[in-house]
Amino acid sequence: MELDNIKEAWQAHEVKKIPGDNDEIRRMLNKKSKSPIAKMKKNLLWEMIVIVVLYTIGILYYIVADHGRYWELALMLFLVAVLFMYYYYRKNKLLNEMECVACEVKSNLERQVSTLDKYLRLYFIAGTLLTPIAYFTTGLVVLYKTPGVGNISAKGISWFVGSGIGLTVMIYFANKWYVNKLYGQHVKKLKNLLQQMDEPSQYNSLS
Amino acid sequence: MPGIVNQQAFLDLTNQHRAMLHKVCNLYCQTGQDRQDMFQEIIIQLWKAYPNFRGDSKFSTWLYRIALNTAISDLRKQQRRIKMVFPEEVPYDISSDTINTEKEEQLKQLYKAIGHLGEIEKAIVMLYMEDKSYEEMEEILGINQNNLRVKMNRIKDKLRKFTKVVEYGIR
Repeated sequence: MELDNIKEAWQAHEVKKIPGDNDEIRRMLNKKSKSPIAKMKKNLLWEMIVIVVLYTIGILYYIVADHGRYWELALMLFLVAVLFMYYYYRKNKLLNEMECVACEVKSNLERQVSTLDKYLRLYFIAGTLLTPIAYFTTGLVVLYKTPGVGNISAKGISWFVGSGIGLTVMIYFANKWYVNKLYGQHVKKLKNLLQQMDEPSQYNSLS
Repeated sequence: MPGIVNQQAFLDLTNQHRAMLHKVCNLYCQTGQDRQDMFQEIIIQLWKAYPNFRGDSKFSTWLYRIALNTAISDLRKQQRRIKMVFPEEVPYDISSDTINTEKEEQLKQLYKAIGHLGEIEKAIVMLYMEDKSYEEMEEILGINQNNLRVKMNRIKDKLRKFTKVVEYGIR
């Protein structure tokens, strides 16, 4: 079969039509996008709402509880919450930069790959660091504010530090697995598409 | 913002190019539901981008870019479903008063063969069949013209092979 011989037929034929008239298209204009990036933005918003609610409860609790004995914990939670907000701001900025649908297909794919790389790095680093920071700061505040802190044994301190390190290592691997599970396939797919654009000889769907 | 631009003008322009949007959805989707979802997603993306359309390129070029970018980005969620559908079983409504039975059969074979191509190859072959120049294809895809010509030759070879496979039932 020669493509050029059926070009005319291709242009004249009617493919399977998607049902819908002008009114239906008009209604579509008010619907929300379901693209992967729109979904990532939606997830980010929900994640942020959960953090705001949980941290607000935590901050209020430590301000009120035990006559404000652990108010430093409330302050610490507030600072961590500020860090989280900055983290979400950065993530949202990257998501806004991630796609340019009106750009050439190749430059849009390149943009997606490079921005997604930055996004995932931020996700991984922040996700890995925030938990141990919160753990050690909380631990130190509790130890400092608890009567008899000077009597804590070397074994107790070793246990506290060792647990913190163990937690950090665990979070590191858990995050690595989670980021890969969430976005690994998508990144691979985008890179594969770029490879298809660059190297005509290497991609062959026959093989 | 889209709200203040002329919605009717947008709908008229979109309607003029509706057949092209259908072709993109048919090439990249296997099921009716996927086609419907993709069509809706393309319309949403077009509408979002419409206020920024300055006319630097042809409307059709702009439209192709958005349709193909959306179709290719959207593949992530379809991957699971695609594995469950055999391209040979996908029905294509190919009908037109101006097409004879032989051409109709060839088009059906072509669609089946295109189903075996990669996502970028599908975009290239569609633009080629729509009689777009290599210059315009470069404007849409961002692949330089020499590379496009090489790819197009390879695609033609592949399609010849695939259509033989379809014709003689060799698997």
